[in-house]
Amino acid sequence: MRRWHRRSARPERLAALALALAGCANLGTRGEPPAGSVGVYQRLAVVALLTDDLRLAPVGTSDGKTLQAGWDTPRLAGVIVQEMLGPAGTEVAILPAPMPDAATLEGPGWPQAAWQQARGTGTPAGGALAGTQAVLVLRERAISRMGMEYSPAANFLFGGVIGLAAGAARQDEEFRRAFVVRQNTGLDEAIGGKDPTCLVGLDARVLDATTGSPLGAADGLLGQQQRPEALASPLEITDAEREATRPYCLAALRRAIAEAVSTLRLTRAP
Amino acid sequence: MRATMWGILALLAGCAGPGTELQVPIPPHQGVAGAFAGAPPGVVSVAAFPEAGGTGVLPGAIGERSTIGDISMGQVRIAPSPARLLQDAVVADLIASGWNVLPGGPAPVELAGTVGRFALRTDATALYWDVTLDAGLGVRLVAGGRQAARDFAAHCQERTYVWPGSEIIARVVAQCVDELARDVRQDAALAQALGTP
Repeated sequence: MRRWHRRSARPERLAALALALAGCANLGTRGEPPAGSVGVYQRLAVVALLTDDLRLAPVGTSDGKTLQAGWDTPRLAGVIVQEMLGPAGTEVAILPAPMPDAATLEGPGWPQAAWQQARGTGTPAGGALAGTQAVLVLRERAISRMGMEYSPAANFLFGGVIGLAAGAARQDEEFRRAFVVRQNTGLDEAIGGKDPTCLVGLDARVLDATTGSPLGAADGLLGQQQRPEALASPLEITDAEREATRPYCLAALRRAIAEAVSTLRLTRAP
Repeated sequence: MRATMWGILALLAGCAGPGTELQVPIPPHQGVAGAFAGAPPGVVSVAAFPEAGGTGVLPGAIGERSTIGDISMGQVRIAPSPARLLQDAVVADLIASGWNVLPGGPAPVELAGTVGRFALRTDATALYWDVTLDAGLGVRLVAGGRQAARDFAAHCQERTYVWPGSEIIARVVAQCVDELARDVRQDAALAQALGTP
């Protein structure tokens, strides 16, 4: 009898533990490679399909506004990868990457398209991928003002038939590839405070540099960082505010890239 | 049973959002006289140690707290920043050794420092967290015709059976700062460059 009780209690405890861990996993991201990590690849090329846009998306309203950030975001994404993998012994080459058209970017072959584009750049003698073992392709992911992933299917399900007509407009209006600066207004401000959060979403792929075949995938990586000072207006940003927001958005980008590096196992323990 | 419940509570306590940031104030290092005291005291200029940083690294950010599976539970930022902490510690020891310290600029003796790394991690197991800091400091000293350049490293760790908060992180950081400052003030090569017989 006693043994039966002990056995029956165990699955409940394990379930509670699993729930607790699941809650944590949903809230957190993976951190940067710890000191002493060793790079899996000796030479890696980075292609960053990122915009340099900033979207002001006040929570609690349907308004929004997108503007050019002017932060050189695609190049800095490559620099962040260099800073993370360089100490681990991986030589990282940042390849220039013009943003492909929307159909290519949304299509299933977007990583290979980026790889082919990368292979075509560089000197005639060897090309940009000569001597490179792998290519890391980062694609900015369109996220909503709430930091939810881009999901037309979810839009359809939640919006229903009536929402379908408005869905296309909503997608353009609400889901956009950009840093999203989310500032609470109204009731949300009363509950959650006014300090804005900068969010960015990424999808990442590692490809064999020679063949373009996939070596790893990580989707829906979200980076976010709160800025400890509210914007004067949730729909406008002055040059000074934009400059002051930059470190927090880049911190959000660094967190998303750290998760990509971790999930794709680009480093290993010494 | 009790251990399991504590474990669950600890895990739940750690479930702060990723935007959650822990601000940790670090107490100042108390100056201690070292091998520098053996040299005839004079004026030393100490330029501001440059921040190590990186793209998207916020000032004072030294790492992230994590739970099982390397899941990050938010950034840890310290104040003062690592560069400022280490600079202040070295300066405090120079003053304790009888030196007059100028904040940068030309002087008979010039000291410069570089923070090599300052990385916190909180490796988690089912029962405990190991709060670990790996810190490095490079010091270059020029005194007339003499000069010395030395690199120092410290590895500090403390184990906790509850979610690591600001107190334990402050202790680990302060321990590493004290160790690096001790290594600098006891270094024979730096002391000789200063004029210690």
